[in-house]
Amino acid sequence: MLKVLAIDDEPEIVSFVTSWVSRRKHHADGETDAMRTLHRVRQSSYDLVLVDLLMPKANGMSLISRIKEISPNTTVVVVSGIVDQRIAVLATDEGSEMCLCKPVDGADLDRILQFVEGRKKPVSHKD
Amino acid sequence: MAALLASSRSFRKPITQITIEQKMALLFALIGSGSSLLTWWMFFDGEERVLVGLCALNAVVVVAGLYVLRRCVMRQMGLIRDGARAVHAGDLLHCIPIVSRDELAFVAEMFNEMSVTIAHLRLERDQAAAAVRESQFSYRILFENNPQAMWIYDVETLQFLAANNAAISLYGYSREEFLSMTIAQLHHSDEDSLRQMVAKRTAHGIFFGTARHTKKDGTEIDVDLASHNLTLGSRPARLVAAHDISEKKLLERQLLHAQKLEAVGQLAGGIAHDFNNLLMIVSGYSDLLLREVRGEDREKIQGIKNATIRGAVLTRQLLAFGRKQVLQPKVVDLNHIIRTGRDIWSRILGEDIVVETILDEELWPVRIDPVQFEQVLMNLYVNARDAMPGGGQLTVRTANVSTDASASTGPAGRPLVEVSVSDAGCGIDEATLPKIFEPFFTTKPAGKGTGLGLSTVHGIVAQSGGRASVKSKPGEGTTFGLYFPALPGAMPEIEVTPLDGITTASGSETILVVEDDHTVRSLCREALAKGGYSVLEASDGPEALRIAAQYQGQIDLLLTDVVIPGMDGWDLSDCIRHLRPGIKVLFMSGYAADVLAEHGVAEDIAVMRKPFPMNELSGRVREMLDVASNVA
Repeated sequence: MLKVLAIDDEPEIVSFVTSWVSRRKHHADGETDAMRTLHRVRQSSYDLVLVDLLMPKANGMSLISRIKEISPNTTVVVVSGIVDQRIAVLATDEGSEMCLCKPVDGADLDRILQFVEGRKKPVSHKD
Repeated sequence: MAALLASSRSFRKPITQITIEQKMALLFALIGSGSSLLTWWMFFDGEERVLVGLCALNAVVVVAGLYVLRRCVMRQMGLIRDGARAVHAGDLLHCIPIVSRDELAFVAEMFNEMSVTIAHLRLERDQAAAAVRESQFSYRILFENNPQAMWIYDVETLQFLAANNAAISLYGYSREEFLSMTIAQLHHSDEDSLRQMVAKRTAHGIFFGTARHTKKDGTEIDVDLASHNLTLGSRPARLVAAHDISEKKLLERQLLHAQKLEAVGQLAGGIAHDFNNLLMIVSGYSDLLLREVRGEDREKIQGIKNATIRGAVLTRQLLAFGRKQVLQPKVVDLNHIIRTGRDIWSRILGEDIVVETILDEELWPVRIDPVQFEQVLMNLYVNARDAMPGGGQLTVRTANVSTDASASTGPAGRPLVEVSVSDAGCGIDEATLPKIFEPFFTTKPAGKGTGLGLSTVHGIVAQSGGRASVKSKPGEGTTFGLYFPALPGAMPEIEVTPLDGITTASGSETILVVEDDHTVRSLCREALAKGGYSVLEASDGPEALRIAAQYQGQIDLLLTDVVIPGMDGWDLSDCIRHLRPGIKVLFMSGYAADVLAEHGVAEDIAVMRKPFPMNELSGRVREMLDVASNVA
């Protein structure tokens, strides 16, 4: 089971992502206030954080590097309204593993979850 | 007596001017007259002597007078004759001396005045000739050697009357050809409408404007024109000056095009972000409902879900994304990706295409999504293959270059990695070359090309901060050059094998692939076979139907192009679904319209837009097979 945090200023998007992830038998938290994100990340270690880049009162790019500073093993995936190679390069520079352009549907979320599960396995082998 | 007196006076007065001849004549006359005097004294006497003496004296006087008269006339005449000779020889300033006061002196004076008048006239003539020469020189400078193309044409016949050197070099016609032509040949229009236009311009006098002209070799040029009326050889004519502005026009069009794209991009970017958020909410909740709801309500929800797919396609088109993409940029060694794919590509492209790689072993790493780079290579390979229908060599080169060498703008000396893909194919003509990266531009027959392949190349390279260029000449092949910002000294992250890495979505089901394009079909077969699927192949509709009818085992999924030879892809799917109920259908289409027209009422039919990366194909196939099993 993965611990997932979804950050987006649109509550409906957060609601959809958490519902979908929960149905896949994973633990899901949602957050609409970017400022509270770091507090949450410090509180519990997430396997996956889905982060929007464009949010009020926050720079999604710097949020990525802050999350990675606090929790280096967390996979950060960008889910944003506009994503191209340039944005993807910037985001990966900050520590993001993957970038997706909205709208992201259930099938996309499944692929992301598969990807994170795939990343977790070799780590557990090493342990 | 009077004559004698006059002659004696004429002798006496200018005595200093008497010549030796005159003196001798006087002496002989005196001697003669002395002997005559003796004869006269001896033979005559008295009155007789007086009479004869008078007669003799009279005769002497007459003879002497006649002699003196003749001498005077002859002298002036000689001077006049000499003067005429001098004038004849060109000495117009010769002055005839006046040695008498008679009519001959008058004639000489008149002659002198006449030669002065002639001298004046000749001077004027020479000055006029010099002026003409100067004018001709100016004409040559102003007209013949004017750097601007100029010509004169007859307003009534439209015939060229003169054309300067610049016009000859601009239009490619010789002077003789120009003079045998009318202006209709430059305008490529009929003479009647041209005459009306010329009449208007002639009535107006001066004209400034632009026109499109045709050169001798058939190429069209845009020209700025200035013309005005003049008269040449008493015929009404017009002088025209033309300036070639084709390049300026081209730059204007490019600038306008770039500004338009930029404006659209900014507008689209602004809207797309919010729009995609809304779409995600609708699409997400539709997905959640689809999991919960059963019965006919599912169709309604699926309708909503399909609308979000259409919306997403729309925004991606606006943002120049051809398809849904997950971007994972990594620091990669492009040589590794090229080398890994080489064998697979050699098989897919066919035996006729020889793939040669010339790779710089010291190649700097670059940061790019490897799947996207694989996509770029695929599009360039397929393009090269299509350019060589009879086969040939495809060469892939990599090299480290700097900004200078790639002739791009930006700071000089910035390290770049160059990837070039060359074919020995038919080449691209000059008119097509500038459009080659434009979306929806294709030279392939309808249904064969999407017109998105090379624009995707351009888009992906540009998004990676790079640049794509193309060099080609008809008959000499084509070279595509890609320039990516390099990261010298960086370590490539993971050994990426895009085509080999298709393992996440695998299965053992049987899939029927229907695609007339050999490359795409082979690529699908490679990807699916690698995933463990059994693959059946058909290149057209009838063949697919035959396989569907004859194949003994189960066929789980039909993967077909929408446009296939023999029949429509949608019809084919209906027939096969009839033959094999329960078969899932995944369409591939290069046209947005097909994606938008996706029926979508059933979960077992889907459309994926070409081009797509192969791991997306495996993912979609797996997804469809899984959805079907869930329903079951």
